[in-house]
Amino acid sequence: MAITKPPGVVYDSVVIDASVTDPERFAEIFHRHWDEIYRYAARRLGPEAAEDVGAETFTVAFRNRGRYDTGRTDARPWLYGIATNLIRQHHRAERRRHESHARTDADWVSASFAEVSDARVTAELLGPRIASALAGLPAADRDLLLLIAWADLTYEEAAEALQVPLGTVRSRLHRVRKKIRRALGGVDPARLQEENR
Amino acid sequence: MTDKEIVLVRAVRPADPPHDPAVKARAWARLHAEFTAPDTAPSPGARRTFHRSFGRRVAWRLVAAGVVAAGVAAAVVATQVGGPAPEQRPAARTVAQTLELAAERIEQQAAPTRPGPHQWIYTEAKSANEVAPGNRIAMLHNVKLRTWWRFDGRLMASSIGNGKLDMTRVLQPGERQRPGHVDDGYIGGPALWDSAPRKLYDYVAGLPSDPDALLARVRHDYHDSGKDVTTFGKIAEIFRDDRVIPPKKQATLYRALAKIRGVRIVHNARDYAGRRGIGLALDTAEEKTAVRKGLRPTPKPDVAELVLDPRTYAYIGDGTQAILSTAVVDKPGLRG
Repeated sequence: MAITKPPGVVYDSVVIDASVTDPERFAEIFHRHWDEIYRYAARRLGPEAAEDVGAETFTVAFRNRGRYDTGRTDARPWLYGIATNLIRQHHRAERRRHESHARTDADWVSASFAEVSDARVTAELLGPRIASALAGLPAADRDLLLLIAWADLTYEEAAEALQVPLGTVRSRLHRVRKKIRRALGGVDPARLQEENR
Repeated sequence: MTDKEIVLVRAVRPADPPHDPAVKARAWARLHAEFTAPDTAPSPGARRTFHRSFGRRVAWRLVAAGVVAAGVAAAVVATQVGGPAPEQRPAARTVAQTLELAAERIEQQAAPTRPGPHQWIYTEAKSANEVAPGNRIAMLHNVKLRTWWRFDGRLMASSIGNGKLDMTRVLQPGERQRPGHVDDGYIGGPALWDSAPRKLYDYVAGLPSDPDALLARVRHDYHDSGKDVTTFGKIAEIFRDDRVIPPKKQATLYRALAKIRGVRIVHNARDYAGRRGIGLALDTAEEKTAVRKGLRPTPKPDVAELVLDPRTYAYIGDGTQAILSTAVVDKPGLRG
């Protein structure tokens, strides 16, 4: 798709490049994209952990702004890529916490960092069957699927976010769809959605 | 996307989080703290990367300063005919001489005692960009901001102009807001915490009193790549953030700056309030080359990383902030 620049719009890439010498310019990136990144993190982790992951996404992005590929006019895939890594780290940390049962004594040090996972968020809100299908996917597949289904990225944007070739995205999605189909085992999607209301 | 499975997964997309502007405000405060506290990246990997980009940024602003210095020197010669007082003309002095004068002047001051944990560091400043008190998302431009930061770092009070005092809790890294506790008044993040008064005071007070040893310590602590860009940036940051530097350490910091290759004097540098002073800047060959090749835009004039009062040699600000007044007080709201 040809990108035409609407009048008066300054590309993310231009802003990020300028922020290398003038850090305050990075504020524009934050104000443009915070809502979207936070929303995605909240869908995957719940609102409390999402605040932390969201904030960290922008600080990591800020620290790495000098390495941004200025050929990419839209910073969203880059930010989603960072957020995806942080969400994964969050899951790992969560798993370690569960495994070791090492809860910190001061309740407000870690308790609000709720032990929610994609599966739990989904299961609470909607169908347990899709939740378990999602939970059964390898992390990389789940990241890809949710970037497309929950963040509405295009295949191209998801490829950029995860730094894999477009062909890999296509073949991985093909595999993911098969897995979900199998996990749902002949359940009629229309009926399942009905159940979930 | 017409694939049935993806449509299905999309259908179970959790609802949007509740709209809460305080969440964005806190995230913004965390990011904003990074803008001025560059050496506190949490992970080693991030730290390296960040230093690189910070180095680029500092070097860049510094080259700006260097270029201007040349221009100003010429201007000084030209206006000399008009007859400003010769002793007001530091152009004749080398960086080392100027900073040695500064060090000698500063180290004569009586050392105040370390503030108590519940005393407050009062600062009145003008700053190019500040987070509005009360965790509102707002960039304040060219306003007087009074802040009282409790020495232990845990509480911060601020007011814009003569506005009311807003109290904010400051979370330590890893600390979270108490669950169920409704309170918008807090900010946090490692970068902010690292500039907290007690943490910074103890770091600076613990630095060696020998300039070479001090440089070695800062280089080591902040993983300098060998070009001293990070080290210069860290020392500039100490001046920017620390309002209670013990005079002996401040003198050592000046002498240490004089030993960093590429440090220059920017004559008639201006701080953010427009006050003229002795500017310090760092020049690097890479940045000069980048400017010459057109890879970097032509820098702005009058830019220095530190601006010193030309008479007292106290730090007064830089291109993005101006310290108008500061004191150690017993209660927020007091101005010493």
